[in-house]
Amino acid sequence: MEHQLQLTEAPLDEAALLRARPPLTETGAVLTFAGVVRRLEAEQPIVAIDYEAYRDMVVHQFDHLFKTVEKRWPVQAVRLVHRVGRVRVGEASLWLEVRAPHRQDAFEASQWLIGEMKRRIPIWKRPQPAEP
Amino acid sequence: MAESPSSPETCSEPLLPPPTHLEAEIKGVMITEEQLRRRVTELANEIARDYRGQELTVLGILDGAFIFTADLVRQLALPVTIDFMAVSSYRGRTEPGSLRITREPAAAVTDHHVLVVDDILDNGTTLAIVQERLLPLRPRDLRLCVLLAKRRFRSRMIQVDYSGFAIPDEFVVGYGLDYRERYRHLPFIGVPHELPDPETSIPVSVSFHSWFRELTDTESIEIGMPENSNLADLLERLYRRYPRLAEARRSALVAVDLEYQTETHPLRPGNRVALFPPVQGG
Repeated sequence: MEHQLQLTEAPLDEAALLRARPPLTETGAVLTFAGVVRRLEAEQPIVAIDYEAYRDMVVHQFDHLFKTVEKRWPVQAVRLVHRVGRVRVGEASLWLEVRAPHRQDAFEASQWLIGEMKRRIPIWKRPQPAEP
Repeated sequence: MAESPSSPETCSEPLLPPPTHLEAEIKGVMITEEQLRRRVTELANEIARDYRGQELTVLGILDGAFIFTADLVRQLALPVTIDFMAVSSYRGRTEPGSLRITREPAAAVTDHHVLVVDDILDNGTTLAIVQERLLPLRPRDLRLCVLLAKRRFRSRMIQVDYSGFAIPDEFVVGYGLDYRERYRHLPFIGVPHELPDPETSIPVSVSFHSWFRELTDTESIEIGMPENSNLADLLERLYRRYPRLAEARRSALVAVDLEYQTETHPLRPGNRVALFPPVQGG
């Protein structure tokens, strides 16, 4: 299974990510997911979320997760981008692409990966409240 | 020729609180800047009185006595020549027999009044080796001045002529005295938190992430843990050192070398320990 992880301060360029996708011949399902910063965080209006990552450990822990995905599902490739630093409301903080021969596996692997990420990947957020 | 010297001042007990920014490293202040200043002046006055009309060669012992020597000679109303000797241990460890002179005095010793200035009289080995080196050069007289003398010190081999403070048998730093080259710059004499034996301790680094960093006011620290320590021992020490971190201990996640670990995990030299609050990616 191919996998690619990117932690970036720059805004996500979805078009560029899609252009970088290799030609698909064996793939039956491409699932992409974007996690976007909402205007309300815990019912309070915010303007942005600052993300902080413990980079070395993020990379190491994602390696574990990718290996498990590979073992459990016939997934061909995973690409994951997570923003660090300031992410404004309406911008994506997370972008995930899973490619698999079949839809079911792509959905299951994506769900599992995002769930595990929220449980064990050392990234933290600080919502920036809107001026009252 | 000398009047009886003043007896060393007894240092304050219990310890005074250290400056806030040093709380994590220094347990307390044993001798304040003000006490040091007053006592160094007294010593200088005594020395000037005893050597009145003479010229004096002051030999400071490096590295520990560099500040004491500098402060003392500036209060000395005598014609003075200043020089230094250095005595080092072989392996960063002070043991009888493991010392050697790494800088010889260049100043004239033969037929001169020589005053050796050292930071602390602990086991007496430094001053013994210095005396052994200087006496064959036949100084006119050779006297010893120490800023600190441990009260338990009993050896008859070393006779100190001027002694600043009598202190309890505790490891002290500051005002020239170091722990592994640190703390020499502190303007007071302080007692650091418990010190690991550098020969057997397990050096680990600890980093703090997200809002845990605000509880410790630092991103990372280096710490030496005793042999056979596990993660729980390290955490206990950290919580004692950072009370605000202790309040958050129930939510703390701990990683060693990028893997999550539980408290029974044994520590190894060079471990990178990380402490952080629950994660929130996505």
